[in-house]
Amino acid sequence: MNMKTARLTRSTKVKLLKRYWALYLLALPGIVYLIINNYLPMAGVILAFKKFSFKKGIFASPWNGIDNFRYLFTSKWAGIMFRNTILYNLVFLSLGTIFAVTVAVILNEIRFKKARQIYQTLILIPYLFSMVIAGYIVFAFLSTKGFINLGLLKPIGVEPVSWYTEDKYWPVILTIVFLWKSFGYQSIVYYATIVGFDASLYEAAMVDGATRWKQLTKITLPLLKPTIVILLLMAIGRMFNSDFGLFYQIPQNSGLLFRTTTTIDTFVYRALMIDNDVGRSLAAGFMQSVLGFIVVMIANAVVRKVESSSALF
Amino acid sequence: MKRKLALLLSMTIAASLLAGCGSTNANSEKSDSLQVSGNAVSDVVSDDGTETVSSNVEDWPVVSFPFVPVYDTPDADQVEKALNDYLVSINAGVQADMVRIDFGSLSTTLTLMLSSKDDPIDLFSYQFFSDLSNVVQNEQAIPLDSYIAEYPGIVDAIGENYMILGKYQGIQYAAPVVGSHGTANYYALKRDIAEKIGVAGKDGSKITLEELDNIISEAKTSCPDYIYMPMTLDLITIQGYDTLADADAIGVLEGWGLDNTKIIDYYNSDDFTTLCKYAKKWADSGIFVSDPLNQAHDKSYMANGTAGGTLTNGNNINEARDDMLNNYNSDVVLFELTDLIATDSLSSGTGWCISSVSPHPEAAAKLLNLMYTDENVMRYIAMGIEGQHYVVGDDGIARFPEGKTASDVGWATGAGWYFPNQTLLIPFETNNKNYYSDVVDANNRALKSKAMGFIFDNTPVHDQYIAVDAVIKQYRDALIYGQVDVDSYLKEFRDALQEAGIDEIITEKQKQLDVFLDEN
Repeated sequence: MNMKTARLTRSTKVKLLKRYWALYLLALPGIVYLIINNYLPMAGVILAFKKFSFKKGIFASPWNGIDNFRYLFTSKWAGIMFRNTILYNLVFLSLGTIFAVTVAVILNEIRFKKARQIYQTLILIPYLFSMVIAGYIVFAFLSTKGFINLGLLKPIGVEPVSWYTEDKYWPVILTIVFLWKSFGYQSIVYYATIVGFDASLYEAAMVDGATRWKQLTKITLPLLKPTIVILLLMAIGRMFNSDFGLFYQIPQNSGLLFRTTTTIDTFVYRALMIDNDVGRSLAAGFMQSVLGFIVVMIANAVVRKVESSSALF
Repeated sequence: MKRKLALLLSMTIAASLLAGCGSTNANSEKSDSLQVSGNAVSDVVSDDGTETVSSNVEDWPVVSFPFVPVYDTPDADQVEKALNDYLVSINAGVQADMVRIDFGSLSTTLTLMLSSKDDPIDLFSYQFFSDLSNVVQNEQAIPLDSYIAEYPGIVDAIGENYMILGKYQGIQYAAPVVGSHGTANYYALKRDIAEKIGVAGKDGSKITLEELDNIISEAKTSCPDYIYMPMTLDLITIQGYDTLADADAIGVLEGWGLDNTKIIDYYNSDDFTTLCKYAKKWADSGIFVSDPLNQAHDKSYMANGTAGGTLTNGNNINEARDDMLNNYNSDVVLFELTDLIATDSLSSGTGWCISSVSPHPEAAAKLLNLMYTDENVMRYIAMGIEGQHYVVGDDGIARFPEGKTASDVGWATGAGWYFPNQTLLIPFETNNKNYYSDVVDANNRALKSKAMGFIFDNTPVHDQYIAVDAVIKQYRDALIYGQVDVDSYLKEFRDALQEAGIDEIITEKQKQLDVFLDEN
């Protein structure tokens, strides 16, 4: 883009405002909402650096430097929770995207409309379950008298496994649960994009004798790339957050699984159950946001270098 | 035309958005204009003439306090009016405003009211909400020492010995609720099972942990369909430890702290090893519920027929038996495991405070005093209006009126334990007409831990505390429900505790306990 056209002079700004004032006015409620709901509360972030007193209030409470952050880094859990949070997110991002795109492409290949609608609904159902319910479904599979032990392992003569006391299985279990729960929604987002592609491209390709595979690799995936990149970039911003329900409800907070199921969110939750300290919980959230922000900036910079049209900003 | 329409539309939306922001104070005047029957009372000055009360009831300060009902309370205004009429009749000089807070929103609502200048709450209980140290550290409560000196009746009601439950670092911040502070521990075994294995004759006798192990092992052999140990955590108390009100039991006193003030690491003791070994044995023989780490641990297994026996407790053996019969539908034989012991962990240990945002703490103290000393005040608050919300039988026991239950009686009748002095109430829906005098009697008889009232401030070792807590959550339940190999996991657990810094916590706890013992 040419920089000269991008930078507006003051007079053109006024002109634009005059011409589109009704549209700006229409946006006003949204802007007011954003300011009140998303920007004003940000001032509360200062509490992460204060010892909060209910009597003194947000602004008069005394400062305490980085004391609120210390508990996050001083124990052996610091390494475990950062490792788990980041690794799980990487696995979820990569496998989740591959899985969702594949399903979206397959959905697109189904010609029978009724069947497609049924499949769409079916894959979306797990997404709508609350994690608590999902936790009990998983428990029905994994408990000592659950389906896997009695229904699968016993008939083939394998000793029952005590799933809730063996932490080594949980990275796989959690990944499966995550994929089962989330792929439906993601696939439908991708599928909706694919449906919108210009059909004439495919017709032209067919005339030229392109196989289905060629159409997929040369038309669908390249056209889908910007969407994938944008969704990935947005997900990367939450790199240091984790789905609390997934990591707390699915392992049912079982202590012996902590080594492989503790993420920053579950650690903070458990730590603050001891003393509900406003400053410390804010400190954790603030740190996650700042780290996420940095990662997004870096990822976006990389994307812009490689292919500027896909970058977010 | 279109533009004008757009303008109109967007302005309407913007205006309606902003309208929501300014009108929160519409109700705040309500409490000041509280309805009082009769605008003025005749001029009365108390007999000794030391205290004068304004002759105009409308000038009396209105003191607010919460109640936390489970069911609808459509008669709230009526009860409040009855209470206020009574307060007028005794020329109390203060009026009450009972604030209904739903259980589910207690924490949010009370937190807001405790930091609000516009809609403050004057008196509050930290039960279900917080604990004394948090309330003090968050500066939500003010010191009560001067008010309590003014109203000695409060101390008489609570008992000098138990005032310490409301003290933090030597200052009285709360008035403890008059409730049960002492507890004896029992093992309850269903009567038919006890008869089958021939131990029914030992009902009421005292047994050791080893004998308990024998009894439940035999019971399991002869009636294998039941579980016999729905919860194990109380075994720490039964082994003779005062856990100092710490659910994690990090640093405890041996011998219930009766004559011993040296803090030790329970998890490093032989008793803990013993407990883990019993647990392993019990787990392997099916005495625990299956998948215990994923289940709740409470006595409800008795009510639903899963358990044949459970640990339980009470002021005395009759109360424990009634509790099992009335609340868990179980006719049981009881074996005594401990004497009547009073420690912080066993005490109902909650209290009432005057909030730091109260505009008239003197008036709040006045009402608080009445809640501890005036049976009519307590009865209006916790039982409602006689005849309408409860009736008193010839046996001296109060019950719901004919055909009414807690859900439709119209008032939160029967929630006496939430309020300052339940012992002023008429025993309610029980078989024991001495219910409340038994509570007082048990409090007087109970053997008291020297550390009663001690509150550990974990701030100096906060980071270690969080690390140790995480280790305990990681290993303890698996060990005390026998889900893992004892020898290897116990060693791992103990090493992890050391690494997380449990010794530093114990040293700090000992230091604070010594200061506490010097002060009191």
